[in-house]
Amino acid sequence: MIKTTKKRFDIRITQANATVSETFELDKNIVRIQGLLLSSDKDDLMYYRGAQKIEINKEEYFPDNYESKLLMTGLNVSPKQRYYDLGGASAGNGRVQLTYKDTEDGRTVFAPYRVSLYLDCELEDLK
Amino acid sequence: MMKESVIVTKLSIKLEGERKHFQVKLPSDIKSIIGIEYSIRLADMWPVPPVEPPREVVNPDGTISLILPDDDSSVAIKSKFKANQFVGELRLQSYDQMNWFYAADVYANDENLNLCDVSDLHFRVKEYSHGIPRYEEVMIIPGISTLIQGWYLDALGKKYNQNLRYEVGIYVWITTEE
Repeated sequence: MIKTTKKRFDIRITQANATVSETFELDKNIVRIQGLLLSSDKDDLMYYRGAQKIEINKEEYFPDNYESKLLMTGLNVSPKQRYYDLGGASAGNGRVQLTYKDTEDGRTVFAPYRVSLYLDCELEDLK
Repeated sequence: MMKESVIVTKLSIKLEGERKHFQVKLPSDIKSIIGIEYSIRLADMWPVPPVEPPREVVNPDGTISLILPDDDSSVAIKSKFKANQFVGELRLQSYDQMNWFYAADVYANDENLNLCDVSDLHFRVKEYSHGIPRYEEVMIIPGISTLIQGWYLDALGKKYNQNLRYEVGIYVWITTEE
């Protein structure tokens, strides 16, 4: 039986103009990723300054310099429509790599912030 | 099996009224272009628009009321529609199509997101907190050409008579055969 679950992975951006890369491991029983979403504790900084590369199972879904604002949604969007539809990407080896790049923008002043990657996953119920 | 991917191109604009010609290289196994997106990132401080003067609104009885820029009353809302910040013009051409296949006026953001939103009084409506998801402009440009030609023309610097430094991101979504 297939069930769905949401996963959240965080990285901290502590320096302006820094690039932070981290690889996360999904649970073994996750078979597909239906969607993803980016969020932050300082949405304005991520919206204006952020860009990232996202790889799932060593396959690049979003290349370097793909801006974070293109993967964010606001409160005006209903919860079920907030995730970017990946169309059921295979989880494969379960490794998700997020390479986030902070870049100076004239509208913001840097302060340390958190970047959260949410994944809408399908898992096989082993029971 | 078809696979979707995106090619990111960044243009750095530095001069007032600058026109930049560029090429986007596509992979050799391309089947078609399926969408275009763009984004803007300003390296300098954003120009401050001139202070808005009070607006005059003619009431049904013929009297005239002055609406101050920070007036949030329902009468004032109708006159509060703002034009979005026009940043520049973008044109793209593929060798597989006659003429431009994509022509856009590039805008920085939606200035009217808070229009008629009553919650704006307590929780300011901003694009990063209330924005809707952004999707590419869908199109189908079939072909095997591995090059897109285009140009971008600055309008923001021209408006403020300044050399404003900013970056234009162009995202070309394509399908390839896996």
